[in-house]
Amino acid sequence: MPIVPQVGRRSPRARLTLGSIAVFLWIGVLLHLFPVAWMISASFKPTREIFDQPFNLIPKEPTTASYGLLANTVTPPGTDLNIDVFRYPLYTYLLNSLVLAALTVLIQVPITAMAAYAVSKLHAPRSAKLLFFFFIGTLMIPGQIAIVPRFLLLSHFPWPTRAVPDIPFTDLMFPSLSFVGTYWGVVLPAAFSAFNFLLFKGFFDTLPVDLIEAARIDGASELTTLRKIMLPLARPVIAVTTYFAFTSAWNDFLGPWIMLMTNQAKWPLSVVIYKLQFFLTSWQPSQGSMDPAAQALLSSGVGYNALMALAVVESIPMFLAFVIFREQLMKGIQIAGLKG
Amino acid sequence: MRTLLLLIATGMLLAGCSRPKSAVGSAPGKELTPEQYQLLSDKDKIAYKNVLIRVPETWGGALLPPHKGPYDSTIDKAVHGGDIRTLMGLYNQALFELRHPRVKVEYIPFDMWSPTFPSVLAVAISSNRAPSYYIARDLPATIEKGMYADLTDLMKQWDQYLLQPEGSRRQGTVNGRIYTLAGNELGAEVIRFRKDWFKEAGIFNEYGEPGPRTDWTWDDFRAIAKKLSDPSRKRYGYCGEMGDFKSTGGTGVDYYIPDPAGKKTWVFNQDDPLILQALQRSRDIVNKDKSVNTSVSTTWYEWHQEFDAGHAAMIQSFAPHVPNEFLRSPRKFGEDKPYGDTVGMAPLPRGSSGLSGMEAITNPVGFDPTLSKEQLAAAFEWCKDWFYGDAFANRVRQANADARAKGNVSTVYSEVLALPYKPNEQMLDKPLAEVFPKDYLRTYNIIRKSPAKPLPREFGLKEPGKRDMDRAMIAMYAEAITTQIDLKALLAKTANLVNATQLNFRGKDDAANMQRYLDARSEYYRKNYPRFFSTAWQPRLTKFYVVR
Amino acid sequence: MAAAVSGIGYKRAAAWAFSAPAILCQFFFGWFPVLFAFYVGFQRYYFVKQPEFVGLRNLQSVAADPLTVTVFQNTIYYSILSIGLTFIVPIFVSILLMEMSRKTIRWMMLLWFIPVASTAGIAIWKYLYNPQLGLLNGILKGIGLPALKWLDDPALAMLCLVLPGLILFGPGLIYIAALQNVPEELYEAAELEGAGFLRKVRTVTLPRLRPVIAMMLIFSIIGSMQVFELPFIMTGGGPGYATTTVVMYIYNLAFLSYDLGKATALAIVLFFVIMTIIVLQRKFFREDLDT
Repeated sequence: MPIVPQVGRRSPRARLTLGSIAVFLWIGVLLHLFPVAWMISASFKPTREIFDQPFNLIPKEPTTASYGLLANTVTPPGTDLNIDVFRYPLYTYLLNSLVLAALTVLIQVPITAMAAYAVSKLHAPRSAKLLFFFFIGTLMIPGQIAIVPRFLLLSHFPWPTRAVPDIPFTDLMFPSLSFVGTYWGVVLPAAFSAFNFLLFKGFFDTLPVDLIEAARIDGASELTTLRKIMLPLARPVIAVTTYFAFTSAWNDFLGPWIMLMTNQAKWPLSVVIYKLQFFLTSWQPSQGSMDPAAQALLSSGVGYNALMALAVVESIPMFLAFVIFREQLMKGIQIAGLKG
Repeated sequence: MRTLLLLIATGMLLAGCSRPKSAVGSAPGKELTPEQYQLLSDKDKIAYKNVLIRVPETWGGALLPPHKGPYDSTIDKAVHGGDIRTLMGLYNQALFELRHPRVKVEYIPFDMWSPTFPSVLAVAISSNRAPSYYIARDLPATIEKGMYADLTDLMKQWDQYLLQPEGSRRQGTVNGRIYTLAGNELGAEVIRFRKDWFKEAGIFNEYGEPGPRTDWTWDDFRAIAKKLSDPSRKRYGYCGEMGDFKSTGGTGVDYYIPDPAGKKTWVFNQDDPLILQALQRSRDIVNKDKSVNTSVSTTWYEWHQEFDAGHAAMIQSFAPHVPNEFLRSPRKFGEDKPYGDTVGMAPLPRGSSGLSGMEAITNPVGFDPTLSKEQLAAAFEWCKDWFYGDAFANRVRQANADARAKGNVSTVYSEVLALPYKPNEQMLDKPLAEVFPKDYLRTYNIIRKSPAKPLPREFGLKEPGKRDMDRAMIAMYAEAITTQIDLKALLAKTANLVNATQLNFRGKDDAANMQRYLDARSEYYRKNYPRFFSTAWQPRLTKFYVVR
Repeated sequence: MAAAVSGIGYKRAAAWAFSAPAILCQFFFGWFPVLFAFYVGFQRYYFVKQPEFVGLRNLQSVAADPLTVTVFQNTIYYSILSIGLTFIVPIFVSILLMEMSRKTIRWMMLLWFIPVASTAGIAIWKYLYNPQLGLLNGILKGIGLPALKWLDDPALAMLCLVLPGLILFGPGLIYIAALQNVPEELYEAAELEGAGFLRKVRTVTLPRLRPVIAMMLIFSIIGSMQVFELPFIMTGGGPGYATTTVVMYIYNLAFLSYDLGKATALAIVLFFVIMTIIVLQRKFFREDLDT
């Protein structure tokens, strides 16, 4: 809620305060817009203009060649420029990304919210403390070392071994499930998010216990309390966590890359972007050969412009998601505003 | 919950006992000739093929288009859509399977080129999903980790074994056992340069063409870089990663030498004046001459873009890229500037005593160590066929025909130029000499002929990981360039680090092995670089190479 | 009385029922790989052959490695810089944003927290820092100051990695969400006591945000202690080892040196360091409202 009261907003002092806040915020806005402007402008520049000095925001010879490359118009299959990422049309990857992000959000947000609510308000202090560390403890381990065991686990769930073991004294193997090459292999590991758990818990902690007690006295079941009282209040934080779940699923490349490598029809956009960006932004061993696709792109003069075009494409759904979830956030502001 | 835990614990225990499964159960039966095989019924044919090899699509395979679209089938699409490359892939697959009736070839997508390759490979081999062969990076560390099958017997039976370039044979040999096969892309680090700028500045080589002499030294390099850099036109003489400085003047210097105290196998070569000199030179080139542009935040790819944008006269490149680009984008520098007249290719400069630091390497192929004997033999056959044999020739023919139909020059010429084996020019439309500029051919000739020095691994000596060592050396050069630190202190600091982390081991028969190794090195220099041998190697051998 | 007891029992049952799916997921996909990794920490691990048990040798080799100290120093330096410089910015921006009219908030929020794909963000900052062509040096030259080497200067490199965090962040949204639950009555009460703007922020807003700030602090600590992608892509760990962080070193050990055992041992050490910091942080920065 605004700190400067609505009624006194016209007083000179309040005006000064508000005015300086506005100036500060607008400067910040300009700083933020610069990278975006750079990204969009670079995506329309020809390669030779990218590093021009002095830097100019409006391309001298605007071109859509970068977007053309992305739209699969310059690489018909079967040419020497055989870039495997373009084997499928761009919309396949976009669709996959959307499906993956939607599944992740639909599974992750409720599971995480319920757990956070239980830890914050329902569990006895001792188990709450224990569960808290159980839930966030894995954040403290860098994910890089879990890549191999996680893949083994998902490749024949629930056996985290090299191969599925035999049932003792028989030649039969234990039953197992393989998630390799399926969406589930990507979605299941993201079914619980420790980060969103922290957010939810932080939020539920700010809610007074009286609200729940009152509901209980009214005879509401725990589920009803959660549904009817907590969730409406939690609307802003649900919007935020959904947004984070969406963007992290949207941007994640290593999970999908390892799980779906053999099934290109299911690649999300992030994998394609990663494959295209890595030779621009990562350290190649200076000796030895490189990806034939990278070689092809280098020869055809593709550079930052194509990368930025990709970044623009990548950013659009995130931007839209932001606008949608902002409305949810704003609703929270409006409801609370009416109350005050 | 508890039952679940118990179940998993039991599972893990059992896994330890269960025998490893090979991907294919083999039913011994009588071997059929291709002709007999063809007479089998479809069902019997399928049953007969019980040796499966998985071929990575980007390195030996070809996948059909994913969708049939408006066509009747995906093959139809390839046929009517002009996708001859894929069809040739299928043809090769069919031919190979007919020749080896037991073998079934499966093309799988597997990426070997992105930086996540090590983790992808680790994941794939630990879950039995790896392709039958893959690129063997980070030798010899990955060999010691058991990531490749032993190929010694198969290699010894192969009449072409000795046709592989010496350097490629050496890099995959550990203690007499052979683990890799030379794949494609024979090459070395070379200097790519702007011919037009060299011409402008009046720098010509011994053949009267614009460019550096083929036997130029790092001192020549420095002078040329200075001459060609022109701040007013935003031109540098050279641009590249900090890592490039490893080779400037480091020629003939070992960054690690036998431990004189005899406690470990190696120690960092801290007192060698040549290394000090190389560090000083790198510092001066960047900070005093200001003729070289380098930065930690600019990547290999970005430096090449800088070069293409006309911001530098020279850059270090991997040899096969230059002819490839020449064919692929002949008009990259503009309509009036054909690529071959604009970009030249020269060998790396030499050390002052005439030693060349150029090392010819290829993409080594390693094979999945969990393959059965039949699978390994089949995969080995496949690789021979694909990298050198009939399948390769078919691909060249297809690419030629393709290019003829389209009226351009196929990039397959650069593949033939960079073939590790002896190229058979008969299969080409035009001889290589008519396609490539003289300096490309000449440089490739030098690469092909450049001798390869003996490696410690061949003599049973453990080596530090190349990447780790490279990283430490890049860090050292970067610090020398970016700070004012006293270089002797820098060397001491690096020695402290490298000795404790990467050179922290000692083998059993190190003294004897070391002696054999040093003898081989001496012999190598005496034979190939007599001047270096007498003026530089021998004095340093007695001073720094103490075997204990 | 009996009703109350059964009520508590019911509450407990609901508590476990609500947490069960998360517990299962966290067990299989969160802890399981971690436990497996701990097991690997005591082995010499081969991807193909059976691992060999080596006891504490991996930990010893971590302890004997001079780089261990360097990378921990770098990481802690990064954490201090990044939490010190960037942690409070979104908090105050969010508080200030709430002062604007509803229409302005809508736009400002979008413009302040605009999502830029990380690919683009990194490329842009690399361009800004470029010593020859970059905008920052262009500005410095323009106003007659000597050019800096930015990422190529070991003393500046880490700071340069932190600065983008000043304007590229998302957590502001979290504070905006939390700020909506600050009851207006509290401000009115403070107003009656004659509190000015800053005092109201100090006495009303910040205490109400405390649980969320505490949570975000935990997350920032964990996140910055595990920073990997930023230095990996911006500098590759250089110059020298100036920006090599712990997790980057772990990655290098695991997948470039193929020494999963030592990598895991280092990860275990990192785990305990972070754990200690978090426990201390929770001790000194309690999240409950009442303290």
